[in-house]
Amino acid sequence: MNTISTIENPDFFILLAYGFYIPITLLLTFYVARKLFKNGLVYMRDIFQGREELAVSTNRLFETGFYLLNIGFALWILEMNYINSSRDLVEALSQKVGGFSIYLGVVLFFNLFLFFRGKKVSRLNREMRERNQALKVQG
Amino acid sequence: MQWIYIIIYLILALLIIFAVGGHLFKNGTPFLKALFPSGELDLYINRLLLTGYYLLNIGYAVYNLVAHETIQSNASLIQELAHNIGFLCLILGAIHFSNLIVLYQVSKSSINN
Repeated sequence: MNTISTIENPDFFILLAYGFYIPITLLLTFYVARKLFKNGLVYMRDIFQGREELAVSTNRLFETGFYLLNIGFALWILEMNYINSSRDLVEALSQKVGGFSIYLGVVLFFNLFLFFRGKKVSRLNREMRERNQALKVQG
Repeated sequence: MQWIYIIIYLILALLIIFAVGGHLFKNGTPFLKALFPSGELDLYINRLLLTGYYLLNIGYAVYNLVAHETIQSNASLIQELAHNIGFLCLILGAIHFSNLIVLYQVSKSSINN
C-alpha cells in the first residue's frame, strides 16, 4: 500500500498529515475555548458587578480574540515536509500537535491570569469606593 | 494552480474578515457604551473602528495576495493557503486585543479627568 500510493501521488503522506492535523487542532481549539469561556463568564460577572450585558459582550470579545490567535497560529505552523512513510507521518504529526497543545496551554493560563487579575482589581476598586463613601458619611 | 490559490485565498480571507468584523461590531456595542456613556459617541467610535478594521485587513489581504513560492502540487497549495490565512488570523487577533487595551485605557483616563 505504501509504495503504490506514493507512486500514484508523491504528496500522499503530506496530504494525509494535513488531513489529520487541521481537524485535530481545530477541534482542540474549539473544545478549550468553550470550556474556558463558559467558566470565564462567572469571572466576568464578578468583575462587572451585575452589568450582565457588558460581562457577556466582553466575554465574547475575548473569545473571538482567542479563536483568532489560536486558529491563526495552528494554520501558520502547518507546513510539513519530507514525509515518506507512515512512521514519519506519526512522528511529524505528534510533534506538531504536541507543540500546538503546549502553546494552547500557555495561552489558556495567560487568559486565566487575566481573569484573576481583573477580579482582584475590581475587588480593590469596590473596597476603595466603599471606604470613600464611609468617609463622606462621617464628614 | 496559481489561479486556484488566488481565488480560494480571496474567498477565505474576505469571508473571515467580514464575519469577524460583523461579530466585533455587534458585541463591541455594549462594551463601548459602558466605556463612553455620554451621547452617541460610542456608535460613532464603533463605526470608525469598523471602517479602519476593514481598510487595514482587506488592504493587507490583497497586498499579500501573491504566493511566495510557486505552487505546483496540492500539498504546496494547502501549505501556502494555511500559512497566509493563518498569519492573517494572527494579525486580526493582535489588532483586536490592542484595540481592546487602547479603548480601555482611553476610557479610564477620561473617567479620571
